[in-house]
Amino acid sequence: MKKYIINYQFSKLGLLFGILLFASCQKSFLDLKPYNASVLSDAIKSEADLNAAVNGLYASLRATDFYGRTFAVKGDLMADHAFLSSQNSGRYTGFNLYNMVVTDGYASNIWFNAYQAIKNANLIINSGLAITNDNISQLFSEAYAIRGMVYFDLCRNYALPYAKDPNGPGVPIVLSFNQNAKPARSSIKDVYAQAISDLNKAYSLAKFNQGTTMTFQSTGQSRTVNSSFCSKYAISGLLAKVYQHMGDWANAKNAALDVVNNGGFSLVPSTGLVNYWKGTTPRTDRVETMFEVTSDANNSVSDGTLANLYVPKPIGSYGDILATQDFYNSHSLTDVRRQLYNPSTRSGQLGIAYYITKYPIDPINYDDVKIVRYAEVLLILSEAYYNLNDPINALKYLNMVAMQRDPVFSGYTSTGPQILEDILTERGKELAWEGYRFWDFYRLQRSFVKPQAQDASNAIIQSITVTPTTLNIIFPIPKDEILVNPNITQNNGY
Amino acid sequence: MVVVGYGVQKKKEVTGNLAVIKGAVVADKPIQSFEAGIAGRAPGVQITVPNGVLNSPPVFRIRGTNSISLSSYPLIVIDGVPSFTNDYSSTNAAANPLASINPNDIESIDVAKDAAATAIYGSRAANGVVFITTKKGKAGKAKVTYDGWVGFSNPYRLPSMMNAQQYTNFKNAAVANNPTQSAVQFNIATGANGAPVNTNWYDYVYRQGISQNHNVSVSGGSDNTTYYFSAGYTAQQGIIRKNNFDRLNVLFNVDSRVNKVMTVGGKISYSNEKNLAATSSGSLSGEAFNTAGLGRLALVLPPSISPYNPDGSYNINGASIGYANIVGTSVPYYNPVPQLDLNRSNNEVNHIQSNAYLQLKPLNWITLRSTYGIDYLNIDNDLFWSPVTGDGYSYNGYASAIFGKYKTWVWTNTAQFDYTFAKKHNVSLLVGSEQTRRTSLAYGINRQGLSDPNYNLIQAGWINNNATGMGYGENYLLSKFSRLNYDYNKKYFISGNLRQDEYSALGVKKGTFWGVSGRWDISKENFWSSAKLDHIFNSFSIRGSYGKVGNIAGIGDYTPYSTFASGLYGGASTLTFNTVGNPALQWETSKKTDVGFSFSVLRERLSAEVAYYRNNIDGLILNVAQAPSAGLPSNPPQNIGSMYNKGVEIDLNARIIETKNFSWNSNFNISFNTNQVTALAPGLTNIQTSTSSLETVNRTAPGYAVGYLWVVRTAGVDPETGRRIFLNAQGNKVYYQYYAPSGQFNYSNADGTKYIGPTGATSISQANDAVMYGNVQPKQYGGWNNDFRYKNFDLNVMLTYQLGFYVYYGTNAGLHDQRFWNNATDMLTQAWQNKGDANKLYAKPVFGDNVSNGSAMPLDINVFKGNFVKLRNLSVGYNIPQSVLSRAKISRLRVYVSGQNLAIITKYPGPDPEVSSNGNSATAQGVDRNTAGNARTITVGLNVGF
Repeated sequence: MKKYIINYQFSKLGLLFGILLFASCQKSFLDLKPYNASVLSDAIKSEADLNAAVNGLYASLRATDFYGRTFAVKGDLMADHAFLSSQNSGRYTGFNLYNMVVTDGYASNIWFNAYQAIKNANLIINSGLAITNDNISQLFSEAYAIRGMVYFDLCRNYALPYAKDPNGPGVPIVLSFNQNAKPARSSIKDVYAQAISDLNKAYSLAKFNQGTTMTFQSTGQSRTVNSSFCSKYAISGLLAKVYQHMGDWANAKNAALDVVNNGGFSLVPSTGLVNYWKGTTPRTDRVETMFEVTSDANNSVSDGTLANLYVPKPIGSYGDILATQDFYNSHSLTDVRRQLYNPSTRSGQLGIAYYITKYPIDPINYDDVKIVRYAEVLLILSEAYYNLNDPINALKYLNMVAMQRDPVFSGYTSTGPQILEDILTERGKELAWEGYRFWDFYRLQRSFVKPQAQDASNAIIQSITVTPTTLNIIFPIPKDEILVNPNITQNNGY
Repeated sequence: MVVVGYGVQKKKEVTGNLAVIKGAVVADKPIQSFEAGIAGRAPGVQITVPNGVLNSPPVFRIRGTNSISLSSYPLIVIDGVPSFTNDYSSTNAAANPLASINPNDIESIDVAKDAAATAIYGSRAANGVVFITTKKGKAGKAKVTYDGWVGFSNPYRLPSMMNAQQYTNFKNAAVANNPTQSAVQFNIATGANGAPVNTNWYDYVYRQGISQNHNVSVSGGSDNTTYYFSAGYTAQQGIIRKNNFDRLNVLFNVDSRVNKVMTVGGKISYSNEKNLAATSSGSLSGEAFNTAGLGRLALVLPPSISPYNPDGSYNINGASIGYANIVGTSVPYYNPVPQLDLNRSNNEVNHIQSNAYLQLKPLNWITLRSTYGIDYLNIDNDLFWSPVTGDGYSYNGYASAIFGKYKTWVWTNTAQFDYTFAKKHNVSLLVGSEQTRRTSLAYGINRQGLSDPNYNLIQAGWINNNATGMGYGENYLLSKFSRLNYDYNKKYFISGNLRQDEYSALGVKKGTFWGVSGRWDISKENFWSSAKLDHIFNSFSIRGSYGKVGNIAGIGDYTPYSTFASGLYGGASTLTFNTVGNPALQWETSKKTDVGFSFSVLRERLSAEVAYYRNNIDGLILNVAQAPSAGLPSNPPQNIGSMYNKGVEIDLNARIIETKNFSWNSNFNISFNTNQVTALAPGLTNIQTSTSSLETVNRTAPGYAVGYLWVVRTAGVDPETGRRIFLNAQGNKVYYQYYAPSGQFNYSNADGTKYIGPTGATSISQANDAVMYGNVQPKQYGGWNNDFRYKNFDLNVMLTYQLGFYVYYGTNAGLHDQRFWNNATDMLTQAWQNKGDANKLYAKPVFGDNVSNGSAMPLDINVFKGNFVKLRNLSVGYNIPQSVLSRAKISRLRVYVSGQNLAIITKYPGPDPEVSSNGNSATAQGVDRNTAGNARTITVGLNVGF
């Protein structure tokens, strides 16, 4: 009997422990998903998600080695009116000396950042959200516009000019996210076609011009379409630039004319130019800025801005890159753009240091980067008319800019090929330090002398003649890509 | 008896490889956590105390480095509950959670090393498992003890630096060698009394630390209930000013037999620790190049400037120190004195570790047990940077407060069956299940722009507020395990361990781990005695094990998932895909082989254990780059690399002298370890690990040990010109001069022509020219412990050593840098001065030269052998005779004097080759960059028993 009781108790205990041992687990704890971040497959399901994702796409343009700084620096430092001070912080020496090698960090960072932005655009474009209202249409438009713009900028940085050989190797076209993709390079022609296709698609989906307001029905929140977003006519401006690089002047004219006739934009008046460049708030008034990548105090590339590079201490930081004396002197005394420079001295630098103070940022440590401006569109239009043998209109739009910047200037009156030279000169002054000058030489396949150092009398004592066959006019395909992607080919010479 | 994981076993019957360390060896030592006290105490256990900052976690390795991207820290199990390890601080004061265990409360430390001993911990066992058992009461009269000591700590072997006059003369001479810097001029500032300044910055950064420690314990019990209660208080001062460690802790252990069947018990341990520092020491991981780093400031700052102006105010110039007496160059480093006076970088830990169990023995061969344990760690971080100067200057004052809450609960249920069949077949079977859940949560604020300069609290008035220190994570581990031990007549032992783990943080969640082992006690065989071997050997057994275990230490909680993150663009919220997960990710796998033998001779006065081991580690988790054009925002983790550790361990114990009045017991152990990476990933030829993101000297590559030193070679200094001679990758000499006169070059060939390397490079660079140069993991390490007793006196002499490794003494580059930095006095004799100076260590001093002596890129001249033997502990004690004590109702009274790190034998020129500027990093050991070295401590104490 006693034995029975023990056995009975034991079987109860055994049952209890059996339960404890094997039945008490909480299987649901094994599927813990992160909730302070959205899982990729669940991300874009509504208008509001789409808006946040498109904003994220813009934010990814901000990187220093992308639209944030390096694109603009390349366009000026690798051209004929700027050089790296002999006293410098060590940045961009390869651009100044034209001796970039295959491991160049700027080349690999830009490539990485560009394909990040393309990936972000692809995730939006392929999200499958139905276009059920104008807001969604507009947001998709912006994603297409950014993707087209990035493909254009990638192609001109890593491939030879379109005019040289449209069938030459461009860059890989990636239109959907695939973790294991090892894409090959498409032809230059195909990349330009992709950029134009994206921009045309964007234009067709665009519903809002700058200064209008979108209201989201689902959340009641609104979004003012200011200059930090790529609105309808900014897309036309981008299209004009792509056609300009292809030498397709009829289409360039049409795109630019669309902005002029329908966009409602105006040039900033000469009296307001200096303050215009000081401004750090996105615009809604359609004055000058058509599209810019914006930063603010909490969301910026901190020290990695154009202002910190160009403007010296105490209001900026490095002050590494200087304008040549010739370029500074090419501005007449009444040219308001002359006020965007500060002739000074620099410890360790011979001669007068012509500091570039276009981006005065004191006391704020961030700035916005202009991507499309109305002045640029007018100058593209002028160049298009010149090439379409319409010198009257060419001079009209050229002088529209030139006479606004120099109030006492009576305008260009040149004829024949001199008109193009005047357009290029005016572009040099108007778009200086925004990364344009180099691309004018590149797309026209011109040779030029790139200054590298000056002496005590501001004479250029070191320089290099850059021709359309100079190695460094295009970046190397980054080594990281070559290492893991067997389908990619390197640029000749690297 | 030794702890084996979910149970105890007789040491002689254990088939796996387990080392036993008595708790007494870490008691009464001037340490903060027990691991710092076990160096040299057991074979296979490698401890490196990385710096002189209090409570920074030691580098702890069992049988070498077992991972690349994950942690190599062993799993620490305290009374059955896995503990938090590493540094939980968000400030410049380290916070090792293991410091919550008062070393005086530790009964034993059992270290499981091979697959057999560790497999019961499955996916967490690859780095070894350390079982900490706290003290319990014994039946009998209540015993009361008091243990206390007072200690005095000092820095040692600090580099000899130039004084103000030497510095000024030397720097001016260097300026004369650089015509481009002719405007630079060094003068000596005038002090308050009108005399020239001659500052020894060591006086302002270091101090003699004075520490005290008190413990009281009460233990005892009846036949049915036993208890142990203790309370401890320690207040320790480090050798760096303002670096303190204060701990208050209590521990209560109780076990009660309710009836024949049921036993209940539990433990409550609570600890409050204050880890205090004023500012960065420059010594913890990530701090090496801090401008505020105190270890660095003491070396870099000119002795010709004073921390104070003549009027007694701080000598400052904005954020940095004032340097009016130095013309033409700036001194952009901080004045350490206001940093120490005005700033705070503290944290406070509240830590509860508790468990309760119910045990039933329905039959004498069946034990059922259910244990629920918790480990709650809360940490408050409190940082303040004064607006006056230093780090807080540009913010006009800065403060941050971050709160972190880390919780574990563990519920373990086991059933153990012990049965003997036919008197000779002993079987023991354990089955069990366990759930472990961890959650972590952290949040904080940083505030900038102090609006009321009289306050220095986070609650004061500030202008800008930002969120900081946000953290969230949770994971869950669900396990089933079993162990079967069988022995035949205590002669043949076999054992098998099996564990299945399911872990939430992995893509492939479920895995099975196992270990098998056997022991043969040969001395119990008849042939042994018939061959008369028993006359020589008192015991002799051989053992071996093999198994597979895993490593998940330090893995993120959400590795399978690709995630978006949010941000802002123009004030509007954004989403961006920013992390790539891997749904196929699983643990790293370690296959461990272990064979050995043990014996004792001379009536067991000499015993020895010898083991050979090999750990093959596969599926190392590496973040492998994909094609950038695919647009992956991060490199996804993959199970891809492999490496091994192999070695031999010898442990000798001897009772050399045993007489009534005099005894000498000695332990000597040595471990040989070889580590080699055998494969990384396709497209990943090497992994470079930086020191504080500024200098990279460690490179991990197949065919080499983890974290090999990767430096540029030199070939001395040219006696003719004083130029540094570099060797390029091909081994050709390249002559370097910082200042190149017209027509000459910075880098030139022997004939003076411009150097152009094979790749077209015109300079020497680490990327082009560095070579795999030296191993940083000790090939031999161990200890030699001696306990002497003469009548009532006792003497302990403990030596530890590490041999066969190199240390990159990066500090040395700074000590010979030709910018305004102060230099070591050896520069006066070892720098090239005149034509014909042969065999000089350092190049011609040219002002501004940061290349020739190793600041710009790591050079072989700053790599040194780290071999050392340390007198880790020397203590002398005296037990007051019983005849004196009995009248005072005292059962025991011992007084002692003890010294730590009293002597070191090494050729290493820095303060201490036992160092790590990168903390516990698996891939960046062997770096000494601006680190404040270890302390030498003398303690005086007493132990009383009532």
